[in-house]
Amino acid sequence: MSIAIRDGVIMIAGHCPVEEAEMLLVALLENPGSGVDLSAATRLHMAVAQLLAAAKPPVVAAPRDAFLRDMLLPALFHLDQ
Amino acid sequence: MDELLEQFLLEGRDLIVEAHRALDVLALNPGDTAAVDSLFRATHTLKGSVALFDMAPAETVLHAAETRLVGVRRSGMSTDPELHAALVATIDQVDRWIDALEAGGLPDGAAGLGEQLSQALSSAEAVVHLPKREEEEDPAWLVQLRARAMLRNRLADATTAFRYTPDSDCFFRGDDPLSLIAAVPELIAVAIVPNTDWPSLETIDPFRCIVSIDGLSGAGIEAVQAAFRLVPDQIVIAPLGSSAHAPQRLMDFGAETTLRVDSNSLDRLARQAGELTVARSGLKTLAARADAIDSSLAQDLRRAEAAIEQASSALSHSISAIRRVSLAPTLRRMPRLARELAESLGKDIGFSLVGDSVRADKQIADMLFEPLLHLLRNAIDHGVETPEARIAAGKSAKAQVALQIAIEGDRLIATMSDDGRGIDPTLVRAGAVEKALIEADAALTLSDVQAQRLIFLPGFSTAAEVSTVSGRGVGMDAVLRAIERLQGTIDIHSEPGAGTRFHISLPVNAITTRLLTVVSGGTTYGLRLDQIVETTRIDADAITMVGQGQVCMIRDRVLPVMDLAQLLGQPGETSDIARLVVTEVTGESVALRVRALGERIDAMVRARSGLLASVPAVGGTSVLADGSVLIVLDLPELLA
Repeated sequence: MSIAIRDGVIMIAGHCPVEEAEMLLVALLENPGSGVDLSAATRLHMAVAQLLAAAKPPVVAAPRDAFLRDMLLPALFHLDQ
Repeated sequence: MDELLEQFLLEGRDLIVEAHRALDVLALNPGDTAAVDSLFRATHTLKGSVALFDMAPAETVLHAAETRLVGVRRSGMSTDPELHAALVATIDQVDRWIDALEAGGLPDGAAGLGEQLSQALSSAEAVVHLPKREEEEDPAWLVQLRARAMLRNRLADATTAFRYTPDSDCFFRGDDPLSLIAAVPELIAVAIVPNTDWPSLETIDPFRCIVSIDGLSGAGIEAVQAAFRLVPDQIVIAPLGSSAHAPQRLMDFGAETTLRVDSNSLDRLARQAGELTVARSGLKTLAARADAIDSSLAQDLRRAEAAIEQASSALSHSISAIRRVSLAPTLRRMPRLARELAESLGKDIGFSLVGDSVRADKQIADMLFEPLLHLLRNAIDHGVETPEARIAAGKSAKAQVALQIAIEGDRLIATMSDDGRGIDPTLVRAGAVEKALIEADAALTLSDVQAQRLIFLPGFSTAAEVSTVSGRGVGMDAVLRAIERLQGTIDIHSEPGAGTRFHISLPVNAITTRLLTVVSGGTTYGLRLDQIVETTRIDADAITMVGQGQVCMIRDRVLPVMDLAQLLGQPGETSDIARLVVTEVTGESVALRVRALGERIDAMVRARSGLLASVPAVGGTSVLADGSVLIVLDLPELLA
C-alpha cells in the first residue's frame, strides 16, 4: 500500500497509480491540515499529483526521486496559479 | 539499389516538388515570405543530401541558390523575375541530375553547367525592397506561459515551450500525463495549472484531469513533438527565441508519423486481401453443399461467410486508402518537361498544373504519367501554334496549356487543355482516309466528334508526322490503350481555332476487378467483366464459315466468331455446343468461342510484369485462392 497515515502525516510511497487518487482524496479530507511525506515516492500518477496541487498540504519530506523533487514538487506547490 | 541512394531518390524528389511549389507561389507573389522560407528549407536540405553522393555540381548550384535565398530572407526582399528564372533553372537542373544519378551518374559537362548556373544565380539582379516582415505575435497561451513565475526565469535556457492540456477523461483511457511529461527531453521546468479555478477537495472528482501543464525544454521542437506524438490534439508547441516563428501544432507535423513502406509490400498486402475475398467466396459454395446435408449448419456457414465478408471488405477499404498516394511525385516533372518542350519547339507556353496533390490508387498514379505526358507533348507539338501563327490568328503569342486534376465521386478526372489550333474534323477525316484507316464513305458518315476520335486509331500518327518530340513511335492509340487499361475513358472536346480539351476519367481505386473465368484450350483465363456484353451457348452447327472467318447469329445480329484458343495459338474448340463470350471492346461486337464458362470473381489484377510484360494480350495476372496464377487477357489488344 503506497498511501498511509502515520503519526498524522500522509505517507506517499513507491509508485502511486491512478487508483490511489481516491485513497489520497479520502486521506486529505479526513486529515485536514496534515503534512505529506513524499520521501519514498518514486512515481505519481497525474491524478494523484493534481490532488496535491489542489490541496497543497505542507510537505514534511521531499521526494528523493529527481523528477519528482526538481520538476514536479515546485510545479505543484508554487503559488503560480 | 543502395539503400542510401534509394532513400535519397525518394526524398530528393520530394524536395524538388516542395521547391517547385514554393517557386510557383513566388511566381505569382514574389514577396511571399513563407514561400521563400519553404524554398530555402528545400534548397538547404537538398544541398545537404546531394553532398552524400557524387554530385558536386549540384552541391555548388544549390549552395549558390541558398546564399541568394539567405539574402532574400534576411532583407525581407522579394525575388525578381531574373532571380526567379535562375532559381527555376537551378531546381530543374538538380532534378535532371537526380534522374542522371539514378541512371548511373552525372553526365560529362555537369561541372561546367553547374558553374554557369551559379553565375546566373549570383549575377541575377537583386531584388525589390518590400516592407519588412511583420513580427508575428505570440498566441495567448505562450504569453501566459512566459509570465508564469515557475517558468519566466528559465526562458533564457529554453528552446521550446509547450502547453499540454490532457483530455479530462484521459485517466479512464489509461493515460498518465505526468509520465509523458517525465519523458520530455531536456525538460527545464513545468507549471501545473488548473483549467478553471481549483475546486474544493469536497467537490473534486479525482478521476478527471482538471489541469494543463506548461513547460520549457532545452531540446528542439522536433524532439519535444516526438515526446507528445501520441497526443497531437492535446498539445501546442512553439519554438522560443525569435518570436517570428509561428508556433507549430503537432498536427502539422504529419511527416514524423508517416512511415515509408516499400510499395511491393503494399502490393502484396493488397493481393493477399484480394485472395481473402476470393477464399471467402469458397465458403459460399461450401454452404450450398452443406444445405443438402444439414441446413442449420449451412445457415451458420452463411453467417460466418457474411461476417468474413464484412471484415474483408473493411480490410480492402483500408488498403485502398493506404494505396492512395498523392499524384504530386508522378506529375512533378510535368512543368519542367513542358518548359523544355516549348523551348525546343520554339513555342511560348504557359503551363499550369492544378490539383497535383489529389490522391489516387498507386497503380493509377504510376500509370498515369505516360499518357498524360503524351497528351502534353501532343498539345505543345501539334495543338499549339507558333507565336507568329498565333499572332496572325489574333491570339496572344503565349499559348496556355493546362493540366487539371480533380476527384469527382470515385472518379479521377484529368483534363489537358490548350488554346491552340484545335482538331479540324475535316483534316482528320482526310488523314484517316489517306492512311487507309477508314473508307472515304464511312469517314463522311461520321459526326465531327466521331471524326475527331479517329486520332485514336492505331497508325493515325505516322512516322512522317511524328516529330522528334512526340515521337518514340507511340501515337494517340497508345494513350487510349493506357487509359483503357486503367478502366478509364477519354473524350475530346475540340473547337477548331480555339483549342482542344482531353477529358480523362479514371477510377480512384483500382483494387479489385470483376472477372469472368473461362477455359480455353485447357487453360483457365480471366476476362474483365466490363469488357463482356453477354455470354451464350449455341449449336456449333450454327456457326458458319464466311470467307476466311466464321460468323454466327445472336439476337438477329451477325457476329464474327473467333476462337480464343486459336487466337492464343492453340487448336480450336470442336465440341457440339459452342460457348461464346460477346465483347464490344474494339467498337464492333465479336463472339469469342471458349471451351467452358467459369465463375464470376472479384480479383485484384496486377499489371503484367517480368516475363509476361512482353507477351501481348496479357492484361495482367491475378492470384486465385488456391495459389494458382490466373492470366487476365486484354481483349482490346488480343482482338486488335
